[in-house]
Amino acid sequence: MGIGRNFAVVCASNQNRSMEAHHVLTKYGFKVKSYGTGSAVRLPGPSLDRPNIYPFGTPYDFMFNDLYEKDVKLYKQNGLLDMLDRNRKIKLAPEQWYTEANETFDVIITCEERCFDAICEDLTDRGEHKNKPVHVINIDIKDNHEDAMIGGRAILQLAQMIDNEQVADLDEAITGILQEWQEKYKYDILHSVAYF
Amino acid sequence: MNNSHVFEDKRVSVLLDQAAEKQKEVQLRLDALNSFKQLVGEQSIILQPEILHKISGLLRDSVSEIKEWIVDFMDYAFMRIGLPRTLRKDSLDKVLPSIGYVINYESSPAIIKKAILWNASVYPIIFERVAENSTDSTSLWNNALSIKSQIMRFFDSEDTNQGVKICAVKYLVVIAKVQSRRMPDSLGKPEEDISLSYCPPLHPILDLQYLEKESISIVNGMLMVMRTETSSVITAMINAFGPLLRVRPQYVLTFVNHVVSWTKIPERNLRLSQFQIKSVNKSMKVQLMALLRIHENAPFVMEIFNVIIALGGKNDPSKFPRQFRRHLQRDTVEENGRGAVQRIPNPQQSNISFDPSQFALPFVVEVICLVLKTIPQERLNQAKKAIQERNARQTAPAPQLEAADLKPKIRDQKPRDPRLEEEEEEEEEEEDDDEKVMIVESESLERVIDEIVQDIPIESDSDLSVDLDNRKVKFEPTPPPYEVNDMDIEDIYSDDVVAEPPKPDMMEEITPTPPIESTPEPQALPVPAFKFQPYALPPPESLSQEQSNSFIKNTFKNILDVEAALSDVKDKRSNVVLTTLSNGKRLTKSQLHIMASRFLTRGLEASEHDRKQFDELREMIIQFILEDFRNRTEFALTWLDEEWYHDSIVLHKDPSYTPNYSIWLCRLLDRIMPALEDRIFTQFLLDVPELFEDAVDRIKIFCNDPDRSTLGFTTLSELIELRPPARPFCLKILLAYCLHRGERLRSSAITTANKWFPDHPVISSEVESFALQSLKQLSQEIPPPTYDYHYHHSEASDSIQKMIRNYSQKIIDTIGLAGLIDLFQTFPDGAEDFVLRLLIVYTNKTVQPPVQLINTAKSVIVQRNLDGRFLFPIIAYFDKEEILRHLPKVILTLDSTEKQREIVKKVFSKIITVSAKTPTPLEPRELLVFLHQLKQNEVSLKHSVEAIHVCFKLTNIFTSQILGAVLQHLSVQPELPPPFMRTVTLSVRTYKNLSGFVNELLLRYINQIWQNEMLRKGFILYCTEYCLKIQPNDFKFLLRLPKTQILEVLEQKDPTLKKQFRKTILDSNADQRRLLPGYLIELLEINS
Repeated sequence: MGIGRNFAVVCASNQNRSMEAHHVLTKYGFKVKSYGTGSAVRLPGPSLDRPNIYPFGTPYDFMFNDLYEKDVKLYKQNGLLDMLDRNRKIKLAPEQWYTEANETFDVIITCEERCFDAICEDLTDRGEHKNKPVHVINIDIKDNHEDAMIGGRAILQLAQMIDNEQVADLDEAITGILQEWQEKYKYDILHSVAYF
Repeated sequence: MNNSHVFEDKRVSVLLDQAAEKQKEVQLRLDALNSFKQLVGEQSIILQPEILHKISGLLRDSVSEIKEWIVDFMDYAFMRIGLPRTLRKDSLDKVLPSIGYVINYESSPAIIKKAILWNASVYPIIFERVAENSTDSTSLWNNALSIKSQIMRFFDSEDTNQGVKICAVKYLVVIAKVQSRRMPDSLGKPEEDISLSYCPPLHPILDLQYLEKESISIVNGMLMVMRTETSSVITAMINAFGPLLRVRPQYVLTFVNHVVSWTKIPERNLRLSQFQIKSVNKSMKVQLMALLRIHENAPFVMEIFNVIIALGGKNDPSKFPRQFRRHLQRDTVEENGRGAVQRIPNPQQSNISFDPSQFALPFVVEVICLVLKTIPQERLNQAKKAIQERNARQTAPAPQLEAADLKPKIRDQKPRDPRLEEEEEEEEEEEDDDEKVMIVESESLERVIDEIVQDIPIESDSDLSVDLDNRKVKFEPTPPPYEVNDMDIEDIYSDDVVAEPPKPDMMEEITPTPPIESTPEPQALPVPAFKFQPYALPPPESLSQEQSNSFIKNTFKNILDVEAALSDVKDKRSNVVLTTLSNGKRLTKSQLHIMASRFLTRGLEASEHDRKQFDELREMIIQFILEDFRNRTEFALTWLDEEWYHDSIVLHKDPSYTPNYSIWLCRLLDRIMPALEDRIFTQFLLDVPELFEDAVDRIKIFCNDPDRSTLGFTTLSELIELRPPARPFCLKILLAYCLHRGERLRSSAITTANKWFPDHPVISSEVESFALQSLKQLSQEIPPPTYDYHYHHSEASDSIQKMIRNYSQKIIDTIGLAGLIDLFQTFPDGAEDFVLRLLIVYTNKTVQPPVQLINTAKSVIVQRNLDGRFLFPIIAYFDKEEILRHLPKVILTLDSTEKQREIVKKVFSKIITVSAKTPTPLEPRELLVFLHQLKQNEVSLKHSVEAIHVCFKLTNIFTSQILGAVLQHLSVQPELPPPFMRTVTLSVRTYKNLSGFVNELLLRYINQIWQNEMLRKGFILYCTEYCLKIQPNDFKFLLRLPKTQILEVLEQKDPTLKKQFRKTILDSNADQRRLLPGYLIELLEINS
C-alpha cells in the first residue's frame, strides 16, 4: 500500500507511541522508521522516582528479559512486557534520532511538542546541506498504552491520506490533508516544512 | 589501465545511446540508465565532464520519467558519490545549460522542484568556480544568473505551486548565504563556508557589492513575503533561515524584527487557520530559541528573547540560557526590548573587528538613535541652533511654521524622513497597521500627559512624579522613535519600488546597479524647520463648570484610550514600556494606570462636591475594565488601591465622608461576575486592597451555581487561607455551607473545610469547634427515648438519624479507635445514642474488637450504669463469667416486641458463637440453664420466659439433644425453676421426639410439680396441648397420671380436653373402656 513515501515516527523513548505507529504503519505496508529524541530510554519503574533507564540501542529483547526478572507481575500488569514483546518483533532496539537517523524522509511525524522542537532544531543544526524538504508534523499523543493505540490509528489514517496515488504533489496537498484529518481526529497538530 | 578506460567508455556510449532512443519503450530506456548508474556506483565508470554533458542532454527529452531520472542522477553524481570537487566544478559548465532548460521550460512540478534543489546544492560550487577562474566562466555565470532569475520569478509569482516555492525558498537562502560575508562570530568552519569573502575584491565577472545588496534584498524580500504567504512556505522560510542565521549573524536582527511584525499582523488570523498560525509561531520559536543559545552574548539577544516571549506559548526556563531565566519570571522582568537595546556596546568604544556595512539598516538606525541619546542635551541644542542659523541665512524665513503658533501640544509637524511619510500613506490603505496607530497615539498620549501635568496637582509623595516631575516638558524634534523600526525595515525594500504599487516582487527590481541602501544616508534627512526658543507657559484660562467637567471627562477618556491603544494585548506585564516620552523617559503601563487612578481620586479632590460627575468617570473606568477584564485586571487593582488609599486619607480628615472603595468594588464585582469562570476572579479578590463581608458574600453566587461552585469554594478557601483579615467572614460563609441542605454543596464545603484539619494552627480549631457545636445541636435534635437502637427499622426515622447513620462510618474512619475510646470515656450525657451507634458500626466492621475498646466500654457501662443496649455489640467478647454477670441487663431490654427479641437473639447467637472459640466457652446448655436460674429480684419471670423463648428461636443451636440435657439438668436441681414447664412445652412443641423422655421426666417429678402453683398450671397446659395437638387423641400420657392430677387436668376451666377425651373413650371398643378407672367413667358420665 502507498506509493512509497518515507515516513519517520518519533517520540521520546521510541517505545510506546512511535512504536505503536511503526507497528500499524508497517502492518499496512508503509515505509516507516521510528526514533526517539530523548537522551535515554525511560520506562516506568516500581515507583515514579525509580524509572528503568536504558541507553538507546539496548535491544528490546534485553529490556523484556530484564523487566521480566525484576518483577514479572508488575510489568505484566502495567503492560510494559506486552509492549516490549511487540517492539522486539518489529525491530532490534530503540533508535535515537540524533545518532541513527541518517537517511532522509518525506514526512516526519512526532508524537509530542518537544520532539517536534527537537527534530526541527536538529535538522537546522545539521545544516540542511542535502537541500531536501521534509514535512514535520506533530500530533500530541499522551504517553500511555491506550492513547498510543488510538494515536497509532490516527497516524495510520494520516499516512493513508498522505501516501496515496491521488496525492501526486504532497507539498501542494498537505495543508488540505491536515485540515481534513484534524476535523476527524481533533488532535492538536503542528506542521512545518523543514529541510534535510 | 588505458584499455579498461576505453572499455568503460564503450559501455557508457552503448547505455546512453540506448537511453536516448526515443522510439524505445520507456522502461527499456530506464533500464539502460539504471545499468549505467549501477556501473557508476560500482566505480567501474568514472564520471567525466563529457559523460555528464551527454547524460544531461537527456533533460531535453520529452518523457517525464527520463527527465526526472536524470535530475535525480545529477543530485546523485554531484552531491552523493563524493566526486572530486574540481571535477564537479569543471562539469558544471557542461550540465548547467540543460538544467537551465528544465528550470525555464519544464511543466512538471516534481522535476522543477528537484532541479531547483539541485541548483541550491551547486550554487556555492558555481560561485567558487567563477570566483577562482574568471577567464572561462562567463557562460557558466550567465547560465547561473538566468536560472537564478527564473527561480526568483517562481518565488514571486502568486500562482507558483507550493512545493516549487518551498524549493525556491531553499535556493534563495543559499544565494543569500553565498552572496554575503562571513562574520567573526559566524558558526561553522570557514573553509566550508563559501561566501563573498572567498572572491577577490576586483573580480571581472562578480560584482561583489551588487551581489551583497542582492543578498540583503533577498533576505528582506523573503521575510516580507511572510505577510502574504501560506503557512507551509512561511515555515519553510523560517526553517531555511535557521542555518543562514548561524553563519550570517548580521541577518539575525532583521529576522527578529520581521518576526515581531508578524506577531502584529491581524490579517494573518483571517488568512491562516489556527493550527497554521500555531505552526508558524512554533517554527519561529524553535529557531529563535536556538539563536538565543547560539548567540548568547550577542548585542541583540534581548530582542530575540523579547520576541520569543511575544510569540507566547509555553516557555520552559530550562531551555533558556541561564541569564534569561530570571526574565521569565514575571516580577523580575525589568524592561521590554526598548530598554534592553541599551546593552549594545557603544561602537565607538569597542574595537570594531567586523564590517559595519554588513549591518541591517534597522540595526544601524537603532545604534544611531542610541548614540544620539547619549549626547548631552546642551550640545544637541547648540547643534540645532547652529543648523537653524545656517538655514536662516541660506533661505528665506520658513513660512510654513511660526514659532509662536507652535503650541507644545501639537506634534504633527514632527520632522520625518520623507520616505516614512510616504510609507505611512501606503500603510493607511492597509488599514490595520499597529505601528501606525502607535505613532499617532503616542502623540495624543503626550498631549494628554501634558494636560495632566498642567492641570492636576500632584502630591509630593507621588511616585508618579518620576515621570511627571519635569513639568516644563518641551517638545523638540527627537530622533525617530524606536518603534518605527519596522517601517525602516520595509524601507529597504520599498525604497526601490517607490514608483511601483506596493507588491512584494522585489526580485524583478534587481538590476546591475541597484539603488538598495545598506546604510542610511544622514545627509538626506530634511533639516527641521522649528525655531527653538525658551517657552513660557501662558497664564491659565478659567473655564466654566460645564467646560471644566467636559474637559476632565475628555482628558480621562484620552488616558483610557491611550491605554487601550498602546497595550499589546499579549503583554500583560505592568512594567512593559508603552512609549518613550519626548523627555526621553519611558512610560510604563503601570505608570499610566496610576495616572488614571490618581486623576480620578486625589487629582479631583479639590472639587469633591460634584460627586455625580466623578461617578460618571468611575463608571467609565468600570466600562473600560469590563471590555477586557482579563488583561485589565492590573489596572482594576491599581484603581481600587488608589480608591482605598484616597478613602483613608479623606476619612482621616472628614469622618462623615462616604468611602468610594466599597461601593465601587461591589459594583465592579457585580458586573464582572456573570462572565467569569476561572481563577482570575480568585486572584482578583486576593489582590484587592481590602475585603469586607458584603463583597465576599457575592461568592455565594458562584457557590450556588452548579457550573461554578468549584470556583466559589476555591475562592473561599484561598481567601480564608491567604487573607487573614477576611478570614472570619469567609470562614463563616464556608461553614454555613457545611450545613447546607443540598448534599453536593455541603460535601464540597466540608471537603474544603476539612483540608485545614488538623494541621492549620488557627483555622483548624475554628473548624473543629464549629463541627462540635453542630454535632451537639444535631444530637439535641435526636430525642433519646424514641431513638431506637434499630432506628433504621423505625418508622419515625428522621433526617438526622439518617444522617448519622449515613455518616457514622465516615466519623469512625476519621476519629479511629483512639478517638472512639476517647469519646467513650468522655461523651456528655445525652450523647449515648450517638456513641452507641459508633460502637455498633465499629464492632460490625471488625472481626474481633480490640481489647482496650472492650475494656473501656465495660468499665464505662458499669460506671455510668449504661443500659443493656451498650452490651449488645461487645458482650460476646467478654469471658464466660462476665457474660453471665452482665447478661441480665441484656435480658431486661426485652419488651415483648418481636423486634427486641430478634436483637437479643442475635446477641445470644453471637455469645455462643464467639465464646465457643475461647478457652472457657459458654455452651448453649449453660446459657439456657442460666436463664432458668435468674434471680427474680434481678430479672422478672416475665423477662426470663421471654429470654427462654428467644433461645427457642435459635433452633440450629438449641437442638433436641441440648434441650434434653437442659431439662435433665434442671430436673435434678433441688427445686424445679419456675419457667420449667414453659421450657418443657416449648421443647416438645419444637421436637416431638422429645415427648417420650419429657413425659417420663414429668411423671417422675409430678408431685414436685404439683407443689408449685406455677408449675402445676404449666403442667396442665402442657398436658392439654400434648393430648390435643402434639399427639392428638393420644391419652396414654394422661391416663398414666395419678388420679388427682388426671382429675385436675380434666376438670380445668376449658372443657375442650374433657370433651375430646370422652369422645375418644366413647369411640373406643368395650374392652378398652373396661380398663378405665371407675372415677373416670363417672366423671365422663359414660354409661357402660
